[in-house]
Amino acid sequence: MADTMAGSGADGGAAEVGSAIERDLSLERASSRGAYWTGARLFVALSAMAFGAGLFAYFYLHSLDNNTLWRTPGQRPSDFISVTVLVMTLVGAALYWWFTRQMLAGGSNSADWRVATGVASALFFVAALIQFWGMRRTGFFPGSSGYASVYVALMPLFGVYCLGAAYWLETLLARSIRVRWVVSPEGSNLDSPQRVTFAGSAEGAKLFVAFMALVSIVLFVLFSIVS
Amino acid sequence: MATDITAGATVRAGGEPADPAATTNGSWWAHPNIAYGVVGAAAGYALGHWFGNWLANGFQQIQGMGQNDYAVVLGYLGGTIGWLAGIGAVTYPLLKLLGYQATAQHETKRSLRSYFGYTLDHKVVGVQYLAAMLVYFFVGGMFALAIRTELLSPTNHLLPPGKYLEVVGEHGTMMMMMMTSAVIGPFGNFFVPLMIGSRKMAYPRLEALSFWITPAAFVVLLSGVLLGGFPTGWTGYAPLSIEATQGQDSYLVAFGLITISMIIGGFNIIATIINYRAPGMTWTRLPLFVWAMLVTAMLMVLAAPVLAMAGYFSILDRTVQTALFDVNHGGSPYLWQNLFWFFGHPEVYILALPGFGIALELLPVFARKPAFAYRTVVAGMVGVGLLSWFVWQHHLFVSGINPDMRPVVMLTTELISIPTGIVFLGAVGTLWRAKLRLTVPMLFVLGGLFNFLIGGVSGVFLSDVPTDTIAHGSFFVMAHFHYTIMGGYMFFFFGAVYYWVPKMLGRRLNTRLGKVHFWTLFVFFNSTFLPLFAVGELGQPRRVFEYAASLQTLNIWVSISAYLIGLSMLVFIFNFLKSTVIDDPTPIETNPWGSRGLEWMTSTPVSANNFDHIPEVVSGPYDYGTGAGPMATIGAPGAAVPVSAAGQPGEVV
Repeated sequence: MADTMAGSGADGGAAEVGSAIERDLSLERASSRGAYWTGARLFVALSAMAFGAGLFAYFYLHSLDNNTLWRTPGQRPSDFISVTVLVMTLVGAALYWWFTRQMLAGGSNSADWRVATGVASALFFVAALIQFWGMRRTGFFPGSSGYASVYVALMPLFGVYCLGAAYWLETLLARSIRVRWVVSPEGSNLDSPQRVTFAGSAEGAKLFVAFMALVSIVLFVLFSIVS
Repeated sequence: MATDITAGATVRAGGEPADPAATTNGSWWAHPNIAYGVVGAAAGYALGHWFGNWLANGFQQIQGMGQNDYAVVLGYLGGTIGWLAGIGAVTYPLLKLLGYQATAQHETKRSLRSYFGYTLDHKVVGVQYLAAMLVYFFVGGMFALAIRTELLSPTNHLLPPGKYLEVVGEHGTMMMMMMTSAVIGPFGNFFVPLMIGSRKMAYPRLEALSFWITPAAFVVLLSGVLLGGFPTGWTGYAPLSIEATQGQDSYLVAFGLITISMIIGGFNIIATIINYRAPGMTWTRLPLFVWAMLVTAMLMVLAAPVLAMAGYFSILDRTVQTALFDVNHGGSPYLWQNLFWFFGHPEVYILALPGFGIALELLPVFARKPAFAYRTVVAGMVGVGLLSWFVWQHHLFVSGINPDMRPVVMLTTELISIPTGIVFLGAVGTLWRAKLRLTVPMLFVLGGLFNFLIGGVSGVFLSDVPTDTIAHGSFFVMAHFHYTIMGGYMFFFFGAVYYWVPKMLGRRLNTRLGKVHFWTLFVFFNSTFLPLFAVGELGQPRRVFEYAASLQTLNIWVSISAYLIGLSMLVFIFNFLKSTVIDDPTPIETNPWGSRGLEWMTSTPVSANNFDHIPEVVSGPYDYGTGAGPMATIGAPGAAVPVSAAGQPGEVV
């Protein structure tokens, strides 16, 4: 290749530089796509560690049952609030997951994706609000037992995560409205940096909402099903 | 498109409207800076404090307690948010809500002002980190000198017992918390992209955020002194932490902030190393320093959330009055111990591994031979990272672990000495039959290895239940971990400062003063901490300001040695300021140490894009004396400009 460089004229040199720039951009697009892939998985992993610490507290205090105060009789959060938050989270996650899968595969109408994402974002947002509102209506004092303490610790955290999911989906929706073709790429736009970052973020959010659905189920089972 | 690298000027994506921050140059909010940050912090603190008072008004329990932790915690959080908003960290997340997105930061300009702002240039963030870490270290060191001053006499006291505990707590927390990122912050952020042939970090905004959180944590931690301090030391054990005054809130919030900083900093490092390696930079060509950064970052990202949760639980116990750590109401103080040490022991390796990464990186350069047992050493570092998850309960040997569990944890703890030993032997193996160049960085590396050996061997004793039961809580333990962390980690850190500052700042630190710094630090460090093993064996407990009169001579010796460490640090400060600020700038060699590393293939100071084109890596970083060609080609493909042809030594045998 060096020989080629040496043997070419000024036009050839410019072409080589152009090719080098194209190579750099191509490598960086691949890196950017990979960074979203890695980032989403890391975020889910670290979030799992955080909720894992909460679950450790749940089982640790449950097994110790100090002063037989793991859970006093009748302690149970509102079923209405728990079920509402669970359903909203699951529906939001399913909506976003399904339509994004379709969109990334190129089989979804962009308007459908926007509507689904908007609805999912709203569901996560409202679920967070209901969760926070519900914290004032638990019917038990936070320090009355181990169960009550863990519940009061974990559920607001879950609400914050719901807000995070709502934020992430809203930014994707806003992005798709501002730059419409990122949702329905055509021709050369497929490999554009905007499309790469958008698709990477959308795919990452897909994993995150699936994680949120899993967490909501686990929390519901632990706090509302297990007696 | 040329763009400003400061946060206020988010890059415009092609084919879409420019974002407001990039175009509204006259707007005050488009130019965030430290002054706005300070104003924002003050306003945020006042608002948060007021809100906390308002919130607490409705709770009879809080009014009866005599202190309102709500107001303090929310004040700190409000202040931090205000600080970050003022510095420009929240501009982009808000713009994202409107659909704006930055796509590139390739063409950037750097000015002195960049070093005092929220910047997306990883080199600037590295320099910011270096300056900040040195400040945190010296402040923590001042607390250490206060401790040693108090311990000059067993009976005459400068500090009352409560105040002494505050000072011990501030010293320990400053060193174990603020200094966690002492290597990964300055050197990881600055050099990882350069060493892997990348032109940027994966998430530059997160990188900047990870740094700008640390000043907030620093101020919050120090402010604890004004609120009565925290009596728990850096480990924050319950139930004392729940009963303590509002100073404990500063400890918890500061630790929380630092864990966030650690998580996002580590997150960025991992994503960068995995995805932004240049072509040809295979896993077996990855510099050992980068491997150390990767393993460390993994530990940070996965361990720190657990500590964050523990701190959050503690704040809840102090504010909304949960009983997570209160045994009388269904909680357990052991819950704190388990969660804290689940982070706390990996934390030890979060400190040790970057230090070893520095040693392993510098040794081949100054030994002029390949790194010994590269793959085995990498396996050793990964092994340390993996095993570090299974040893935390040895911190509970004495405090109440199930006795049947002790042998299991003793075994895992002893097991970790195997991969640690492999890493250590890998470093020593590189010295075998080498033509050593005893430069200042090399002296610090050798000194660090010597110290770490003492710290490591004393650690093996402490992992045994019978020995630990006797030595627990004594100065023996204190001497052990100071040998590993200050004797190892900080010696390696200073080695890295002397080695890499020429690349970071374009100035080489004075060699003569550097040698004075090394020899005084090495002698007085050992003079300070070696006697403490004996002091501990003779029964002096940690965190107690009175001791047996028979131990006074040893304590006086140790205190005087500690002051001399302080003098040694003054030599360093003088050297650093003289060489980087006072002396006239003189051009330095592009590659003063004759390293093969990719980071030395760039210009000094490093251009905004690091490399004009992404390099092609063609050989390993440590092929000294093997006849291998330069590590990489730089420039446009086909131009094939080798390192040596670019005016850099590349291969010096």
